[in-house]
Amino acid sequence: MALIPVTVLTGFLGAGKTTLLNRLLRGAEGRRYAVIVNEYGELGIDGALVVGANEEVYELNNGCVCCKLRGDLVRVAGNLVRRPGGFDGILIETTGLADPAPVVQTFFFDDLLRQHTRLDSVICVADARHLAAQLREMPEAAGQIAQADLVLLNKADLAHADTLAEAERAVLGLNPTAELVRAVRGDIPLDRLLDRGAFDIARLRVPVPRLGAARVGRAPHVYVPLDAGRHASGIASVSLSFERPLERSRFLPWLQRLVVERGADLLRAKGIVAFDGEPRRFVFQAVHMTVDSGLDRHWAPSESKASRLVFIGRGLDADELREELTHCLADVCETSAS
Amino acid sequence: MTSAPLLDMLGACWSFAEPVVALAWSHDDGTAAFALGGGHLAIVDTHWPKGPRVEARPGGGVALLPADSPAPRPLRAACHPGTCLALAADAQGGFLSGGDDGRVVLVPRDGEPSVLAEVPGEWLNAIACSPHGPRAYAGGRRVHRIGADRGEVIDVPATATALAFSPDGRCLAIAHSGGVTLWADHAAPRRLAWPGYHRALAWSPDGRYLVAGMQENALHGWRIADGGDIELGGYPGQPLSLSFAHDGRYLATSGGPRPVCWRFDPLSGSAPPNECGLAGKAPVSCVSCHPRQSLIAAGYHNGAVLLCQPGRDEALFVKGAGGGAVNALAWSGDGGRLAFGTQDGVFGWLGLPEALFRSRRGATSHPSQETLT
Repeated sequence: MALIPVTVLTGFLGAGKTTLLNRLLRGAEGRRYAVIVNEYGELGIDGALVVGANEEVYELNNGCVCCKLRGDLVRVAGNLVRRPGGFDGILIETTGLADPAPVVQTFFFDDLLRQHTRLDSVICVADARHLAAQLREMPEAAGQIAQADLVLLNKADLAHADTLAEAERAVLGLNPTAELVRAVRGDIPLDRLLDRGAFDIARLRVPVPRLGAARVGRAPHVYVPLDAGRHASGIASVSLSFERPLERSRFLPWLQRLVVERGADLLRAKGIVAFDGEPRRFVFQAVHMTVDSGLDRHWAPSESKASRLVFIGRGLDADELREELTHCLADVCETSAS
Repeated sequence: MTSAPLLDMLGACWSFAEPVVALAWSHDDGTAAFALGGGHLAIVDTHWPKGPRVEARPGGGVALLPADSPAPRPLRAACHPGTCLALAADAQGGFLSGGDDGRVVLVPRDGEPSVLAEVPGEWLNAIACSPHGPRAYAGGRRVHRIGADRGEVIDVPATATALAFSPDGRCLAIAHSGGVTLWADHAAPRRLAWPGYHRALAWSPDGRYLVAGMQENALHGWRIADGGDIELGGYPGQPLSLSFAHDGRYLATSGGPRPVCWRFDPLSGSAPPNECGLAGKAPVSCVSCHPRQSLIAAGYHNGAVLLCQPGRDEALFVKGAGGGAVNALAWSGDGGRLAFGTQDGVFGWLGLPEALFRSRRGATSHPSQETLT
């Protein structure tokens, strides 16, 4: 049975979420969508089921303050999978200031939703004119960009070239794994919005860090901290790359400890990792403490077996992460490194 | 386990191509209703005069005699334009269905549905009826109770996810995020607080305990007398199907690869639960304890339905895999029949007379394939 793809649309009020949603539905061509929105009335769509839901964000009682759940989605989406004929997709529009993390976590935590749906993408629609300022001033904006795999810089025609460039720099500094698209009135080919597989670890996007001033640490390796991403909200990204393989028995406990100890501040993490003696890629992604990981395809012979990791969070220290990961390198002796 | 599943020999099933959301037996046990995802109710009369019979053999064991006529066909009643969300058997006969149209619909077993109540704009995802008469339904945070002479309304702290009347019908338990609210007759609501998202409820048959199934892969129980907490955890999945044994000695739940049984009488402090029956590749999705015997019906995510007993590993196949996850499973009040419904829309019932479980002499029942030869 095919899993129903779920697309989450986030973005501040006025950024153009509803316009994009309407566009998605107009282009649906015989496909049947269910849409979960907060505000009724703005949508006039034939063939789609539109459900209004109040965002109910609950903390889970599992010892982790960052594990949150959207109770309304558990109920509403849990019922949508019980309708005859099924749906070709579920689209969820969040309110302007909402943190998308609980939406993502809901689809990871709920057994029924995991059996019937797959989270396909978190799309953040941003007003190209205001995004850079919003990222400086509003932690909610940073949270939305951090969770997104596609950032739509909407109203690009109304923004100055400098403003656009600043917005793009800000987005990539904060979330280097996001795909960035300039758009006018949400005008973007549908195939770029749908079936993105952004949460499919086999399709994980972790770009090679843009080369900055590479430094050499205590153990010889290459790492590239990205300094441009720090914002007033304190949310920043750290991109690291290691050309030498990591030791699985040290890396996995390290990752586990990281998400447990710093899960509340770790908004998002992604990585493609080369383990010593392992012909396949190890791939992971995390939203706060929720981690999805596994061995993926074999490294291609032509491919450089370099590990690439991205961490997005509050108060992350690039040097500290780099140092800790250096101790996970296979050819660094554990005792001498400490 | 080579013979055909019991359903093939002793029951009947159908499909209206709508996933089954819930099922309920009428209080006189003669009728089963299935709430469907397309807004219909399927109503099945289970009086089957020329149906299959189980006869005790003089030398022990039983003989199965096939049916001489097909089972009565189900009726299909249109209840909601969208979908059914909740179902309960009404004390007056018939069934109450809640839908995404904000309506509570009363469906007599043979008649036309009529609207009993309406909460515009709300999804009515929880309904409960006590055999003693009172009815309750919830939309959002608002819970409505209809007693013999009047209706009352309260608001709970978060959206109500499940409703259950105490066995004596006097107290309504309401599950929600943050705990359970107890709403007794002529009393202010009482809060049983426990952090987490509570989604399913079960009262012990003597009304001394209330247990909630939680999103956090755990149960949380309360001793009603003093509000004492009982933590029951360690599930690999969400235990959202809960059923107490008829004598209250254990609570069976879904949420694992096999039915999980917690001892309740006496409540065993730190003892781990025991699992029974067969472990499938697919986890258990539904459980239902027999109303008179120590027997558990378990439905699995792959569509199989098995009968098993607490503390024992063997199982009897009621239905093989297929038809999607078992979404609903319930015994008739007298225990003579078992009904089920699946995600792919298959629903049905079978007669399971007591003779089937009587091996040799004595009241202790032990289902085994040998009795069927």
